[in-house]
Formats: sequence, structure tokens, C-alpha cells
Amino acid sequence: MLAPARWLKTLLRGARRARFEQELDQELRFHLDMEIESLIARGHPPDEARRLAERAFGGVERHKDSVRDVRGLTVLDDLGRDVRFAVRTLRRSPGFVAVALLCLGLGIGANAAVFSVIDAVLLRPLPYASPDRLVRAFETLPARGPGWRGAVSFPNYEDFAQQLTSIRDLTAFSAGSSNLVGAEGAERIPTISVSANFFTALGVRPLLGRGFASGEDRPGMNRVVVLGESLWRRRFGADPAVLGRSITIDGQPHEVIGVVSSVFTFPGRKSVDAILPLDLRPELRTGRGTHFLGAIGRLGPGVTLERANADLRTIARRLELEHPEAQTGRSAEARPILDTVVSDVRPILLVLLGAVALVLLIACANVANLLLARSAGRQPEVTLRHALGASRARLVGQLLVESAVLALAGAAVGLLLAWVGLKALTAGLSAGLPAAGGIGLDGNVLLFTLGLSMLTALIFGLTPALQSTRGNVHARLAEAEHGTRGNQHRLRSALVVGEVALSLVLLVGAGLLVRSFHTLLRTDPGIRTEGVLTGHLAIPQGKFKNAELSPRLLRPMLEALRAIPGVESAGLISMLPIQQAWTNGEYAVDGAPPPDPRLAPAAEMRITSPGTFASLGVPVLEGRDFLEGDGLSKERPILVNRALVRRHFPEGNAVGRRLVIEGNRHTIVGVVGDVRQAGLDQPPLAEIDFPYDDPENASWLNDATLVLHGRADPPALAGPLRDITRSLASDQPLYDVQTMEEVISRSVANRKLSLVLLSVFAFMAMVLSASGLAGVISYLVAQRTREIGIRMALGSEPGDVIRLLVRQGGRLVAIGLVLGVLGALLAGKLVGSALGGIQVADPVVVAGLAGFLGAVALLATYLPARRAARIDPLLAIRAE
Amino acid sequence: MGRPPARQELLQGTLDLLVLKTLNPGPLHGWGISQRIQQRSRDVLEVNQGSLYPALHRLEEQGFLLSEWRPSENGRRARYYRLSALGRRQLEAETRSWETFSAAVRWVLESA
Repeated sequence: MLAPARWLKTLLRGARRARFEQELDQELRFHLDMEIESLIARGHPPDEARRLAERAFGGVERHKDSVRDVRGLTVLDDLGRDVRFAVRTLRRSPGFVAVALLCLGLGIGANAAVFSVIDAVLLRPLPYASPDRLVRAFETLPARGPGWRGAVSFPNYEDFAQQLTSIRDLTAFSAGSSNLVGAEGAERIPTISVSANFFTALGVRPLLGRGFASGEDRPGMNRVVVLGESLWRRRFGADPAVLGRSITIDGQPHEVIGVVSSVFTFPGRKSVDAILPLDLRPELRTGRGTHFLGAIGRLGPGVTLERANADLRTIARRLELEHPEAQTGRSAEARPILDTVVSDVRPILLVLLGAVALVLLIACANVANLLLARSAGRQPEVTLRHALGASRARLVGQLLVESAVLALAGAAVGLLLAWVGLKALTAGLSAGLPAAGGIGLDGNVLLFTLGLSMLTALIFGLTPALQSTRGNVHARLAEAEHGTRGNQHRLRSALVVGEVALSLVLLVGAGLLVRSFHTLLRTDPGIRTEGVLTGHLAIPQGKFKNAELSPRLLRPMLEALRAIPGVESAGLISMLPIQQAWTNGEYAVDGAPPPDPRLAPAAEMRITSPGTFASLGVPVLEGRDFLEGDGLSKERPILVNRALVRRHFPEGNAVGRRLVIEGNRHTIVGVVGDVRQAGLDQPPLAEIDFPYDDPENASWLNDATLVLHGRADPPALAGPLRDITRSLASDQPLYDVQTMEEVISRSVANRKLSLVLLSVFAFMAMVLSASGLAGVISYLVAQRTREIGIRMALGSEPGDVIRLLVRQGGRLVAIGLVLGVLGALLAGKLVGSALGGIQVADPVVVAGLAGFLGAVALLATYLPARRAARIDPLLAIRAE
Repeated sequence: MGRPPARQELLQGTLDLLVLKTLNPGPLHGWGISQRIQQRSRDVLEVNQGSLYPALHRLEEQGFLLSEWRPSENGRRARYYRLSALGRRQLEAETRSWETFSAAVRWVLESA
């Protein structure tokens, strides 16, 4: 039988102890009675029979004990006794218990909180059937290096899905958002569009109704939709009769065929309100070079990732031969979906886990120190028990049980703190964290905390337990008179040195993050951050003819916005800066020799209107901004940014040159400044801007962002902005209205959160180690009261005493700081590469924080030392 | 868990084998087991209660025996033990090893 299973059985038996004892008694009594009966049958008188039988049987209680031994109950009894004893002992020293519980609670609580995030995010981020078999397929450009992975075009998806044998149920998706219009008004909802096999491929079963049937993603089919649970509850009152109802999404009636549980989440989305069948425009359906789809599939039984990848490459090579115009230089690759989902957040979560582990270690060192101090006081008791015959193993066991009781109580405090902390934490988390089941203190976390507290007990309890039961009885009986011994003192000093070193590692880690964050915030985003208001305008596909979109809706809207008092300029853009690099498209310089197709230059493509760059504060460096009507000009005017100019026209004269994009010649009419499209921590990318009033660009504008710059306070412009969009386009919701400052702070929210967390943990570490240091010095003072008294009686000034003690503490602090600097450099190397963009050995940060920690630590030694200097010499000498 | 001193190991092993063998035909309670061993050994072997009951509980703990309470021949409820499938296999293995052992002892005794 497996040991844990056996222990479980023993525990269960312990829980039903009364019944066990009763049965054992009955069993033995039955034996005795049978013996008596058989003796009577053989002619013995009853009294004699009983006597004979009992003598033969032997001691009933001894037999019972042997059986209890066999059943493991003796160990359980000992354990129970030890626990009761530990609780009694601990209750006698409430001060010690309070400090220990605070330390352990902080340490264990921080671990429980971080673990519950890791558990939810890294260990079970996706609510799909056996997610470890799911892979995401990408198209790749081997010439661009191994890190480059891109989306899949629809024709390629179809070829992959048909020809792949090692990956089954390849399903395509495209995340977006749609307009839901109903009696309650218009609303923009997050959606995903998927191929019909989506539900079977991921193994997701709708809460209500059904998923898509095969073929429901083909053009011309009835429009159907599967709702997300939260939308179903919010808009339809959780009415099951919603099935079969028709709702209007993006101006089209859709029949509701199912509802999917809110546990369902999708990589990169905070929530999904509706799942729609992929409904592609013909040009997307046939455009082999238009890469915009994600693809997820399931590895076949027994298939390795390597084989699936070999399979994908073979098919990609075949496609390359069949469709050289679109596929030259392209290959394909599959990666485990878990990797693709959590790769962004994994490093920071692991760094945080490392940080809380250090905090817990420091807490353990503190408690170990307390226990050592305590064990000196308890020495007589322990020695006496040893002398009375308790084995060392038994004594160590008993002390460890005491530690375990302490650790369990600490874990309870920790869970309470973690529960409070998690509430704050999850409120602060931005949408970026992929956590399917939600973050909270569930069974996994409780189990982790329980295991951790036992480990903790061993870490902080073992050394003191071994220490205080060491040596032979005689030596210790003699020692008990004189209190502590040298090696114990060394051990305690070592613990303090370790605490100071670990705290410095954490402080420096947090300091480096803070510094890199400030550098990041000081990065020039390339745009104006003050006085800019933005808002997303959702325009349903098909509501306007392409040629009518800008004259009938956008242009009047922009003109009305510019007329708002206090507004200086207004424009719109297909995607704001500081968001994502997404619309990466290829182009060629007209007249230049055709580039290697595998290395065709690519740029971010944006649609902008006149006034957009003025509102964003992006300078027009050469030529001009767009004018109304540019979109209809035969010249096909475009703007490019400086990064693109530097790449192709280093001598300057970019205006008037032409770029070839998707077969058309476009004339550069202006050069604008660089902006950081993908976020503050990403360099500006080459960019090409197209005019908003070109009918061909209309489909890129169904989720455009309006940008206003005004003298007035931006939030004050929000009201007029809403009024105007409502009056001009009542069924198109304006959403995510925010100032540019908010856009930027949202883009760095996750970074900021990790920074705040790491700072909190570093602060905890510092307070814990400072209190540990203060504890050791106070203890030293208490030990040396008599000596100090004599010194002062002999004429030492209080200042001398303080200096003596502070020097002693200072030595420990100094050693700790030196070790801490070394540790911080080492940890920085590990962490810096994980987090990126952090200068590891920043001397200002390291020296500054070492100085700070040193000052705090010296203060922690000074306070108890000063108390020592107030000792009355006479009392001190008499004390012992 | 308490480990008996090495000297008893042989004795205990033998008792285990005898208990398993005795239960092979069908379920019995503790007293029945001790009676039957005594009878079958023609009163040579006397089973001490102090080792029988720990042995029974240990064998059950190890999964070789199963037990249940049911009325005995005189109407009183008694704890009956019976072999599990695992116990049946253990009986075969222990019988074989005992036979090898006793044959070896006999060879030594006869050759000397």
C-alpha cells in the first residue's frame, strides 16, 4: 500500500477511534469467552475456567497496545499528546506567539497570494479539454528569424486543415468586437469569429443550446450566434428562452443557438460576449497573402510537437511551390497553446514568486531566531525531560510539533492576509492576465499553503530543535546555569546576516524595477499626452456603402467636433499609438530594384484623417498633412514616418517618391514624426498612413478612434463628444472614452502592478529583517545586562555602551550588506534577462539602497542599545 | 511504527503463514484460528493471543486479510477474517519459500 494512502487510513481510524476501541475490546473478549466455554465443556467449574483462561490469555491491555501499534494509532496518540502540549506551552508566551504569527502570516500570506495568481494563470489558464494537447499554428518567415510568428491567411488555413494528419480539428478564429443593438441601446461587445469546428476542436460544451454545426461558417447560411454567459445574464436576464430568438449584431439579425459559460475565456481577451461563425468578405476568403487568422488544433494521439511541426513545414513547402506569388519564403510552425498564452506574464510571475520565497525565508529566519532565544530559556525544562529518559528523537519531534502548530496558525493568519491582498490585487490587474477559473483561494491554494507551512515549520524549527537537544545531559545541566552558548550566538548572528543580505537582494530588485519604470515613463512616446481625448467609434460593417462612409458620417462628425468650443483640432485614426503593432503590411519602393521576396520591407499601416497628427501632436516634418479629398485623388497620397524615410531615403527628399502597396502606386505627400505604436517599451516602427476618405479603406475604419485636442480640460470635452456622436450616429456606440494619459497609463498597468507588488514585498522583507536585528540586539543586551552593569559601575559612559553594542550589530549588518550586494548582482543577472530592459548593475540603485538598508538596520540596533545604556548598574549586577 | 526485534521475525513470519493457510478454506474468527492451528499441529503449536491479534491486524493492514462482523456458531457476533486475493497470492509465495527453507534445513541436518 502506498504510504500516504496508509496514513490517510490511519487518520480516518483515529477519527473513529471510539468505534475502533469498542471493536477491539469485543474481539478480545469474544476470544476469552470462547476459551472459558471450552474449558467448562471440558469439565472445569466456571470460576476455575475463567481464572485459567485469563491466565493463559495474558494482559488484555498489552495485547490491545500491540494491535494499536500495528494500526499506527500509537504514533497518532503521541502526536495528539504533542500537539496538546505544544498548544499549552505556546499559550504561556503570547508575546512570542504574536510576533511569530505576524512574521509567518506575512511570509506565508504573500506566498499564498502569489501562488493563487500563478495557479490560475500559469497552471490552468485555459478552460479547454486537455489544453496541453492544443497547439497554435502560425505562419513564419524563416528569413526574419525564429522569433517571428504571424497570422494565417484563410486559404492557407483551409489547406492546413485539410492536409494536416498530425494535428486534428484545426480551427480558425479572429478576435474583434461587434455592435449589439437592442431596446436597451447600442453596445460594443467583445466577440470572436470562429470556424464551425471551434467547439469540437477545443472541447468546449455550451451551457445551453449548441455550438456551431458543420457548414454554419459558409457564406449564405443563416446567421447564428452563441452568447457569452455574462452578456446573457446582463442583457437577457439569464432567460433560457433566449435560444431561438433573433438579435441584431452589426446591423444583421442573428439567431441565438447557444450560451457558453463565463468560465470560457479566450487567449488575450478578458471576456467574450458573443461567438460568431467566421463570415468573411470574398477578398479575405481568397486572399492567400492576407494574414489575419489565428489557428488552434489538437495534436493527434501519440503525436509529438516535433512531428506536427515537420508535417506543417512539409505542407508549407508544398504551398510555396504551388503559390509562389504569395508563399515565397513562408513556412509554418506550431507551438503549445499554453506557451503562447502565458509567455508574456510568466517571467514577472516567477520573479514575484522568487520574491515572496525570499520574504518567507526572512520570516523563517526571524522565527528561528525567536525560537533560539526561547530555547535558551527553556533549556532547564528540555534538559530535565532528557534526563528523565525522553529520547532525543522524541524531544526533537516534540519541538518540531510545536513549530508545526505555530506554522499552521501562521498559515491561517497568512490566508486571511492573502484573501485581503488578493482582493486588492485582482482589482488592480488589467485585462491582460489569462486566468480561466478566476483568481482566488481555492483547494489548490489551500493545499499549497498547508504544504508550505509544514515546510516552513521544518525550516525554522529544525535547527533550534537540534540545537537545544544537543550534547549530553551532564554538560547541559551544567550549562543551563549559564544560559546561552557560543555556537548558538554564532548561529543567531548568521541568521541576521542572512536576513540583511536577502532583504538587500529584494530591495535592489524592486529598486531596479522602479528605476526602469521611471525611465519608461520618461520615454518620449512621440505624441502629445496632455489635453488629448480619445474615443472608439464602432461602425457596423455594411451600414454605409464604402463610398458614403466618410462624406455621410465621418466628415460631418469631424467638422462638428472641430466646432466644439475649446477644441483646437480633431481627427480619427484606425488604431491609436501605444497599443499594439498589428497591421504589419509589405510594400516596395517604386523604381528600386525588387527586393528579395523573403525580406520584403514591412510597415505599420494606419488610416488617418486631416487633423489627426495635429491632434496627436505629431509634427509634419516635410510636405503636408492629408487634405479632404486626398482619398479620391489619382495620386493616391500617403504619409510616411521618419523611421521609414530613414530606411529608404536617407538623403531626405521623400516627398514626391512613390511606394507600391498591393499592386498600387502611392505618392508620398508628407513625412510625419515617429510614434511608438506598440507601447512605450517598443521602438517606433516604420509606418505608412492612408487617407480616411478613400472608399477602399472604409473597411479598416469599423473600429476607428476619434482624437480631440483642446485648450479645455479633456474630460470636459467628453460630454460634447458623446452628444455629437449620438446625434449623428445613434446606433453606433462610442466607447472607451479616455484621455491620452489614461491610454498610456493603461498600457503600462501590468508593469506598474508588478512594480508595486515587488516594492511591497521588499518593504516587508526590510521590516522583517530590521525587527529580527532589533530582536537579536535586545537579546544580547539581556544576556549581557550584568556585564554592562559592571562596565558602567567601573565608569563607562552610556555612550560607550551604546557604541559597543551598535558596533557589534553594525558588524553583522556590514557582512550582510556585502553578501546582499553580491546576491543582488547575481539575482539581477537572472531577473534582468527575464524581464528585459533593466540595467542590472545600476550603481546608484545598489549603493543607495544598501545605504538605506544599512541605516534602518543600524537604527534597529541603536534602539535596544540605548535602552541598555539606561540600565541601573546596581540593579544589573544584583540581577543574577 | 514499532518494529519488532529481529529474533521474533522468523517466528512472526511463520505465524503469518499459518494464519493465511488456516483461512484458506474459509472465514474464521481469531479464536477459531488459534484452535485450528493447535488441532492441526497435534497440539505442538500453541498460538499466543498476544501475537495472534497483532498479526491478524497487521495482515489486514497489509491488505492480505479482510474482516467483517457476523454471528458466530453460538450466536454471538464475532470478527471473521478471510483471505483477500492479495492474501491468496501471498499464501502461495510464503508456502513456496517455507518449503524451500525447510527442505534446505533438512538437507543440512541430514548431511551432517
